Amino acid sequence: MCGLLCKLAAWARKKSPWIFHLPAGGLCNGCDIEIVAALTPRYDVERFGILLAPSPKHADILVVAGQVTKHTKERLLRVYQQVPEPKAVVAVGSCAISGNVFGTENYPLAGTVDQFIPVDVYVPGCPPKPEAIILGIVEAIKKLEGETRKS
Amino acid sequence: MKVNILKEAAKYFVKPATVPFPAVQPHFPKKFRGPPRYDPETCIGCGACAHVCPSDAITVTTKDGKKILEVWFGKCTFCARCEEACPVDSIKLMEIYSTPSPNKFDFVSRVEHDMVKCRICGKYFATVKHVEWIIKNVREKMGETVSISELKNYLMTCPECRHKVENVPSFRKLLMRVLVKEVK
Repeated sequence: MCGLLCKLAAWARKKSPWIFHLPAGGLCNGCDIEIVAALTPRYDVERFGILLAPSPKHADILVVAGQVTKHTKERLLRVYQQVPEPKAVVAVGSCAISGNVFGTENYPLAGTVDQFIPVDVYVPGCPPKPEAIILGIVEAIKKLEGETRKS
Repeated sequence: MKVNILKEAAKYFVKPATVPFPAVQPHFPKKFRGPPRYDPETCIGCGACAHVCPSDAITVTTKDGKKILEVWFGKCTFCARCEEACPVDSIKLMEIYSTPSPNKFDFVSRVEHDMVKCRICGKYFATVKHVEWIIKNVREKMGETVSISELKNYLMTCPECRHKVENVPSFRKLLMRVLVKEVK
């Protein structure tokens, strides 16, 4: 509909997706540290155009680590709603996938990430290597690309 | 120790600190613990790994005379307790990073085993490979004290049938012989 401008936006999104990093509560912060490690000069994801966005409103990809607690459930939903369309969600670590040792019937926990928001890519590991996280984000970019083509 | 740090720091004056990741394989430190994998050839299906798993990532299901051991490393803590517990070193934590996937049930390594029937009640209770492994080990330790047929008779009987009154005397003879040999 918007022609050239939309194409430009899609190209920019593909070439430089901004990520928003959200620890969802029930985790040991090991995955957070690995996500931050993936942004350091050693791995330097900025050469792929991946940037850490300061606000979910600027982000294209939401990187969630950890299991959702009752306390953070509302915040997770709110952050997810603030990310503009098209968006992708990457769940990092065993806790985000299944709950790991914390289980699913623990009293402060509300459930896994995919029970509340649609997750596109899962990155297993406890914690995953930064390389795996980068590959996960690359997979999410592919998904974003497909979505823009559809619309 | 300090020399190592200085060496590491001096490196960055010579070449860039960034690893060209997709082009080269990542560096794995010593004793790196990656996703666990079964070796279906050596696994005997005893279920020791499932017993020690702290996060219940390893599940054992018995269905239609098949025993299926499945490790879902989407739930794994990578603690390597299974590797320690395995009597035949079949499950190993590989030196690879786990590749991401859109389906969370992709992260699975499974192994299937045929089971033996109890010769009295006809119930499935252990895997064929497990029984063979026990026989091999007992023969190694005990020598000719116990005959294979006698041992097979004992191992092909399920735990419930072993404790029935009519079956106890014959088994007791076997066990006493093994015990006496061990004491000597």
